[in-house]
Amino acid sequence: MPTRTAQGPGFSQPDEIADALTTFINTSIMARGHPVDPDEDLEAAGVDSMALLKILLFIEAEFGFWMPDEDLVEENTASARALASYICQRRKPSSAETG
Amino acid sequence: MNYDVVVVGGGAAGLAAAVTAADRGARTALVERHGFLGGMATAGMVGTICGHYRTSASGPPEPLNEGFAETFARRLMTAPGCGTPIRRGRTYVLPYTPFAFACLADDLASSAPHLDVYLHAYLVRVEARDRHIETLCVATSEQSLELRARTVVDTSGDAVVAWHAGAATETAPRAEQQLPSLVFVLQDVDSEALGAGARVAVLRALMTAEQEGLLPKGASNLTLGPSRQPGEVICKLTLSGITEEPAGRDFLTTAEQEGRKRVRAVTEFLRTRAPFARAFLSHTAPQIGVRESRRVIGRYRLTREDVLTGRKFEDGVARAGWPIELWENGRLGASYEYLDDGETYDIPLRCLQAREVDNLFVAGRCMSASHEALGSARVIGTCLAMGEAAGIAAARHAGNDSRP
Repeated sequence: MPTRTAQGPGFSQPDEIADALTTFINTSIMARGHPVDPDEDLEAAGVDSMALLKILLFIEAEFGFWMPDEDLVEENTASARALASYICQRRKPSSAETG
Repeated sequence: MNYDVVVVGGGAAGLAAAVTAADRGARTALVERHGFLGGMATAGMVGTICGHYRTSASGPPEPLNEGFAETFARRLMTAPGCGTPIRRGRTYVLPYTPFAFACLADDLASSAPHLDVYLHAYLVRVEARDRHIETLCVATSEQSLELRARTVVDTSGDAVVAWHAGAATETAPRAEQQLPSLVFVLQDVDSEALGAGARVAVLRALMTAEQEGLLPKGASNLTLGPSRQPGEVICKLTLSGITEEPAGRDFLTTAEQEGRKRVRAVTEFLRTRAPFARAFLSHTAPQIGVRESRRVIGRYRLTREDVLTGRKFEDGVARAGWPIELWENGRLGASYEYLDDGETYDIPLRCLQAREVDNLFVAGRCMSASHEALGSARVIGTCLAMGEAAGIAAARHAGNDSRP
């Protein structure tokens, strides 16, 4: 299991974050009846740049930060799970920035 | 001039209809307002043929329709600058260059027997009597033509034949119609520095700039597309918010001018981002890409339900499977509603037959369909297939069809 975040209400576990992102993607982006799962490759599922932008705006609203340009790499954005682990990294107390 | 079949509008549907009717022995005319064939595929520079391959999360590309559509796709793949189908999400699209599309259209039209193509030709009047179109008056800069037709195919995209003939048409209120887009091309972009992440960052920056009033409203509804040409990026700006039409002015006039204004502003803004520092706007498409306008009321009106449930009809004449893709006001990008994996629906011939005119067929964007159903059926691959079907039906109606 990935590292547990220090504290905080709401989404704290990577799995919870991945589930929340997946729920958002499936209700706001994917077509009815064609959900993705947390590990599914988003680009292959039809998530284009504009749709990825909507996901990043959701992250900004929920977690309080915008992913900087240099972090917008496939390793961090390939799936809901990848995004969730990036968010967890960002929220670690050792991280320079706070949410 | 007497013709068995007159086709108005030389886009994907009209080309397919005219070549097919001529191949079946009908003396055929094809009337096109631009100086080249292809319609939105060329004049709108769409750049990919959608709707020709089955939607499926896995497996190789599988054409939905044999016949004209597949022959056209196979020949287009061999043209310079074109390639093989590429996966996009749950389906495949076929990338092409507009010039190759126009050249292939020329080749097919000129090798079809009994087919006269009129370019730079505008429909100005239709003479109809007793549910029957008799003559189409067409003007070029050199002559006024009276084309007498046994059967007419309206592939104008805007149902101009039906409209001139006084037949029933429908047009959704402007604010509810799908948005048009203007394709524009940038050169000298550092394509290496424009990966998926950088593209999203650019879209975000555009959105912020629009919110801060640094860019015109709607300037961030941008798609950055790939190109095979190094340093080139093919952009598509979707034109939202143009709902006011000054009295006496066409929507298209406003949209073309507003579109150019916005793409220039967007380009200026993009130049502040590293990958675009040296970029310049080399050209736009010859016209804005129209997704929805006036439609013919046919003997059946295809519905959203028909599309999403994969409905089959006894008079089905073309197979389609593109998702319902809607570009609408108040939303960035498009929404997609997919059919089930591998599923297709039929376009019934009744959608291609005018309800009130006995010798008028229709295909392409002005077919008989609801706003949502058209969001799926309007794509080029489907237009090629339904155009062929309309051509067969028109030749048969004109009494020329020698084939089964």
